Amino acid sequence: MVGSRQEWFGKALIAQLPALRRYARALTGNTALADDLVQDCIERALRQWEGLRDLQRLASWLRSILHNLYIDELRRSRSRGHEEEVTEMADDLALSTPAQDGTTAIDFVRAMGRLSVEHRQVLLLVGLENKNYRDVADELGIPIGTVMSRLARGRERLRNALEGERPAQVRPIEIREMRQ
Amino acid sequence: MNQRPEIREEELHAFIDGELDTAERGRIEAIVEGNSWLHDRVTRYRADKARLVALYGGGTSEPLPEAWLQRIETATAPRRWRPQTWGIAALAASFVLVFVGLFAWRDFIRPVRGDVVADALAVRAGAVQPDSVIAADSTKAVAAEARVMTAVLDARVKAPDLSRLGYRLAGINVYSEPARAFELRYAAPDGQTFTLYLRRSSGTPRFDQFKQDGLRVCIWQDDVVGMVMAGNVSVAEMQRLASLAYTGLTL
Repeated sequence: MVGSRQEWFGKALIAQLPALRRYARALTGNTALADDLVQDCIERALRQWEGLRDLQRLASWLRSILHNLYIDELRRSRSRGHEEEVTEMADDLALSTPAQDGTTAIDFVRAMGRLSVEHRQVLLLVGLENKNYRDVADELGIPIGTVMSRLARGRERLRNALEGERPAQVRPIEIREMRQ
Repeated sequence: MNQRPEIREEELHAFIDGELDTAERGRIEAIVEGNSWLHDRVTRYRADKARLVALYGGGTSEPLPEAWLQRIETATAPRRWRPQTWGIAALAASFVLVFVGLFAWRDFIRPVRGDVVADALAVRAGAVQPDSVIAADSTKAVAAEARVMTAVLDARVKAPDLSRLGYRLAGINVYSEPARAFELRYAAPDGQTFTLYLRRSSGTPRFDQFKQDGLRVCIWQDDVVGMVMAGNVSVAEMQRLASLAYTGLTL
């Protein structure tokens, strides 16, 4: 049974890779870096999988590993030319995704790149992975209120970045921001 | 427009993400519909959310690098047993075979027939009479049955302990038709019965969860054991039970 569970893990891991790769690309905005991270993530998962008690949590476990690897990578290479890398990925995206609101795919990817990792992470879990707030809070180990405030700030900053950091118009309805 | 109803930023996004209950959703919707600035803002946020999926969501069909697949398959392939281990295992297996006798031996050569889910549900519904019934309060009998299960299933297995989730083993039914199998019956916290049907795998790995005949059913089959769980439980509860059962099956 030990061998079988191991094989099962291997199959489950392979089944998760497309979604993990997609998440990594969206998180980093860089195809090559995303693939490097996924590869490192595979190695770490193969070393540590026996500590994973609940195989149903495999997807979130892999994302956590990938996120930690990404943070490590950012710390190691602050001097890397981020704009250029994002452009490389956005060129690919622009071929398949037409512009809709006057901004291009490259604008969107760049705007995402300007967000903090924490904001990007929450935006992607809710928007791309279609997780509800409770699941996101559980996965990140943070209160649900923090998920909500990070999401609100992340989306607002993304929008501001897309609109060229234009100051917001006068608000006819008062919007209170909850302190994080 | 002169009114200044308050909407927290977080509420606006919870509205966009469908996280509000009906009453709150209706309240926010009315405010948004009555204010063109706010309506435009919601529209833009929704467009950004949709764009996120459009930009990044399409990459899942791209072929994975072959090196990744080979690395995983190599690392998770069954471990080869050393000769010494083989010897010990063969001796142990012989002992078990002698212990359980011809009864179990007959089942080694019997091919597994029929769909495991259909058989499991037929057994659960009482359409098949068990050859024997072992009460869970008989510790020795359950331990003996674990040896029989180990021999018949060709894997070191025992009845999983699901008590962490409030499920208590009530008994084990033993079947020889339509295939040699075991049904482990658990008493759920609400008094209902949760069953775990076990038999040798047909060889095809399967994992699925669905509703059938009003029951939540989960099939989890590797290349050794086929396990079908059924009960009146939610999807989340079944996932917890399946995970606990599969890991707890190993001796």
